[in-house]
Amino acid sequence: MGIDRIKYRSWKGGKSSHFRRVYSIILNIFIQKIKSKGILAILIIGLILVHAFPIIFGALFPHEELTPEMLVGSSIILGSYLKNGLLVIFILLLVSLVCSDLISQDLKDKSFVLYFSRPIKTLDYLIGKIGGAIGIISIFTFFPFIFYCLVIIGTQTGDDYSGSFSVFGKTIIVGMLTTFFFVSYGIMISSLTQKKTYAGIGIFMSFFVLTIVGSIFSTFDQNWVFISPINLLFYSYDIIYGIDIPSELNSNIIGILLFCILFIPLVVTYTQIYKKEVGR
Amino acid sequence: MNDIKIKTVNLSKWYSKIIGLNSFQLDISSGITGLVGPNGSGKSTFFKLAIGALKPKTGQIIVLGQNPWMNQKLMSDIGFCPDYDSLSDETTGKEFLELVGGLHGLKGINLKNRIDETSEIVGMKEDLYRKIGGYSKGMRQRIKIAGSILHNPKLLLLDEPLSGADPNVRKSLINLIKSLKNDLGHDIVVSSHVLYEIERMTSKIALIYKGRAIASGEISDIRNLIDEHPHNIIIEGTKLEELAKKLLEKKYTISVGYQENRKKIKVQVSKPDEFFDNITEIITDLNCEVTQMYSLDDNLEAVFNYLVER
Repeated sequence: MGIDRIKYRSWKGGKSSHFRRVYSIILNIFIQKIKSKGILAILIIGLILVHAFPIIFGALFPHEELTPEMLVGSSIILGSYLKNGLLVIFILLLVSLVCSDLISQDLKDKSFVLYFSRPIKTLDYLIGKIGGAIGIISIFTFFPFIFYCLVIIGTQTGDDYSGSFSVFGKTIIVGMLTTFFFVSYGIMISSLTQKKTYAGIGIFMSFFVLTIVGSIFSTFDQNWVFISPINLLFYSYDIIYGIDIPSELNSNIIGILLFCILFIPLVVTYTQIYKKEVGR
Repeated sequence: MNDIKIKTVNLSKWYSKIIGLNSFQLDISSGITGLVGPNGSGKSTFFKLAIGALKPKTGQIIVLGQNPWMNQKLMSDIGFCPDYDSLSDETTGKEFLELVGGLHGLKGINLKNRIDETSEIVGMKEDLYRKIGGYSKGMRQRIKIAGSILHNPKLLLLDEPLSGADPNVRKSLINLIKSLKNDLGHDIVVSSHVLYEIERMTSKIALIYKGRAIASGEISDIRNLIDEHPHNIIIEGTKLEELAKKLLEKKYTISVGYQENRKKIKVQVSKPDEFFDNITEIITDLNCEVTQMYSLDDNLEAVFNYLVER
């Protein structure tokens, strides 16, 4: 095999575009995941079962404006849009599929070297992985919420758009919170094992186990319900939308636990990567 | 110009009770340098220290005039091809190269052009759109090498690039590595546990054994010593009986024996260089299908023991 010297021109481009490096990881993760038939199937089925009906019925039913109750309240026909068991199950399935191999596969294949033999820091790697996962999960946990709000606002009969857009803004926060909440947790579980199957099952089951634990202990103290990430997330929705939570529950605990569940997993993941593959 | 590319001073690295490198002293200059040592001798540890993936316990390693530990900027000047396969089977060759290029800050038309160029250099242009899961061992090595030269680094570190490849692939990979230096000007450090493979790429070698650099310099200085020891080679494939008969006719063949229910033959030769020169021709003449051919470590281990004891 010879090389034609005339055709070859050595690359003289810049080597310091930081964002581009992180973006290439995000893009790679996104492309890999969106090509997965399992993820695509969950996304399509979930979008139809969980999001399509509330959006269609929401648009058809007469309404004056977009209210928090339409999102987190319980309607007779469809139940609650955001506090919906089916929604949670589909999110968990999706997060299990998307996040389970994000770190575990690199641990197993030793493919960290693919990243860290390039001008990439541990934090860049982590941001890239999280960004790619957020890109996929937000298709289910962010954009449909936004679309729902826009449809409701577009078909409202009343004139109070400021109230509707206030709820719309809060829904953007809810969507971002929901996406980051699950991705942060999922990526942590993925960093704790080299087997993606364990990580996937771990993500799915840990939510249910914690929910059961919460329901058992809440008979002693109501605040134990927050040990369940799902309950924690649902009560966070209430606080964001300005809906009163039961007086026996302590809203400070929600804040503290929410902070912990959003950021401690990231610290754990960073430490795992650093300890196992970088800082040896 | 014979400037120092990698310099180590009393470099040591150990993992709990296992020693990776032990007071390792070696200067690597420009050109192609071969690192030869049995499996577990510390070659991969040396490469990981050179790319900053490991932190030295004691001593120092300087690569291109800089300390590689936590030095991401230096990685722009280094191309590393690891010994293990960390490629995702679901990714296409093009997607892999796009990711690698992106990690080096390449984008747009620059990236596209570089992917075209490097895939042509490694002979993978036609297979870029295939999934890596469908690649042969040789193709996987080629795409890894393409990934390591994509950003046109000053220094290439190739850890066991020939391992597991069949004879024809080995030959073409050796030619590729030589052309990366001769035609494109890359300085290369390449490792192998087979001296005769390294010999075909360069005359400059360093021998590594049990975490120490026991000798370095021109290959001819130690070659005679090594040739005194019989060399064992395993060949796996079809028409092995005919191949064995043909090999036994050669003066350099000491013995040929079957292994694993006649699925493999073990060839013991006195002059490995002649064997490696002739084997491709013999395989082609007999129309054998050789799936794997590799040298046994124990032979090299014996040579190293011999060298250390001298």
